[in-house]
Amino acid sequence: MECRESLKVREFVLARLTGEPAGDEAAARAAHLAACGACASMAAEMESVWARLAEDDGGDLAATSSWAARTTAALAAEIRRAHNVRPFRPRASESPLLKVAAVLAAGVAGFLVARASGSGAVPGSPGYQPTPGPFRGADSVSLVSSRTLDASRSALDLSGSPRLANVAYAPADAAGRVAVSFDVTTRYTVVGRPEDQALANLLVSLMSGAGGSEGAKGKALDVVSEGTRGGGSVSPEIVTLLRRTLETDRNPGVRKKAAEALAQMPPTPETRDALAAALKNDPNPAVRILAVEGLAKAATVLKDASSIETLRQKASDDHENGYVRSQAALALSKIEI
Amino acid sequence: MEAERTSPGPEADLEALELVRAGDPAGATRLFQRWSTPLLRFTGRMLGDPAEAEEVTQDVFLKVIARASQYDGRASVASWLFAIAANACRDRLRRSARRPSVPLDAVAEAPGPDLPVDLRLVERQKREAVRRALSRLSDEQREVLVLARYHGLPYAEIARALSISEGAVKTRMFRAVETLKSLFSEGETPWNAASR
Repeated sequence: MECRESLKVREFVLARLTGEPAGDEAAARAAHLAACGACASMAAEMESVWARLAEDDGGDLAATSSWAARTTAALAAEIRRAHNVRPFRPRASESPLLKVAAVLAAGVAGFLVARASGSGAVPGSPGYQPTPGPFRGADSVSLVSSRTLDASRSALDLSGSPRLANVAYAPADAAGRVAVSFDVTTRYTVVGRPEDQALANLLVSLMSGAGGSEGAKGKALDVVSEGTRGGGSVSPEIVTLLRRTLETDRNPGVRKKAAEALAQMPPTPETRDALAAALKNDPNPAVRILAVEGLAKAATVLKDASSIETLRQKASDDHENGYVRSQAALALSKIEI
Repeated sequence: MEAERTSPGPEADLEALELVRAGDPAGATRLFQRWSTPLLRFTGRMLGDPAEAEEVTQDVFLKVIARASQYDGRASVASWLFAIAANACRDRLRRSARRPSVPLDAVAEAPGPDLPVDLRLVERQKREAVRRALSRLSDEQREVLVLARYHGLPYAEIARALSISEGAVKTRMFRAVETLKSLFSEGETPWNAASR
């Protein structure tokens, strides 16, 4: 039966646990707690909950060095951006008529230049030839570039209001020239199949962390998995990276995606070895279950005795998680040799 | 309480924030060094997903830079940081219209090469069980409990950080502890109950 004082005692116990001031009636509450069995029992339960929460020490939620490096770099860039960028304001003296005249002059000049170079066609017209881009032939498109423009000879088109980041200013030189440096973001869309070299290189880079987050890495793994679901092939670089990811990535979710992608590929000795190693060594049961699926497939396709033996050992391993064992046994029963 | 409430102290936080306001990246680095792990743990426990926690925590620090001039000193820098983090977590949970589910693979192995594998496994299972129980609290109860239990914030600071009354903090704490009491007394859930 609950004591009439229980609400007040509960508040007193919680204050004690959280280090809050217990109030004027602390002594009275403590005395009641010492005398009342029901309240003492309730206090013990609350203390037990409080102690149990300490079992989550947050040890898995520590800042990794790669994340810390990415984040501090992003913060430094953001501070520079926030304190250097000055919004562009047109001079008040520029009248609308002058602006219209400038636009017309630019249009006429563009037309004359285009006609002089023999290319008057626009997209959609019969004579249009697109500029060779990253999707044609074996063009190499550098994603990291630095250019210096001579302001006396170049026009800068800022009409799309591009976001100028990391702006820096250099003071005037002997000739009175100043320099303004900045980064602009250019969005690329790379279209292709996972086995196409350009896309394979991009996915490898993203799976290696170039996307700057675990989420981007996971998405790249998803794309590879999706591409292999129908038995599609992937480049050897991707297979090697998936194997390395499965062996070394600290995040079990990432390892799970790597195992899934490897399990869905047409089996090869390399994918088989990676999955067998994961089944033997990975601490995460969800990863090991995917390894079981992949090894069962390898056993059938490669007519591979070592895969069967690995599965057999798992199925009879008393120290293995029960669900992994049953999945291994089930896989063995379905293998067609 | 985790280790964040130790030296160098609130004055150092204020100095770092002043540097951020003045456009000095060293200020952001100092705040990051002191608060990245506590905030990562807060967002991790709120969201139940380490990868999302990293993304949200990074966003929190970017917001700190953007809003540094808005800090008015009424609450400690710590409370202000947790307030931004709590809002960011609420936004994330609302946008994805989900409750944190803590799948089996969301709780990574903590780095601890000195411990034998079996002990590490036991520790991890205990951590998973607590994290799973936390995920079953309401978002409001969880944020109050996590701030009090793991980050040592007093009721008054929690109230300021979450823009609620101290009475509401107490009520949510009571309810959170009551819910956890019944969840813990249910015993261990199956290993894959919350996964997939």
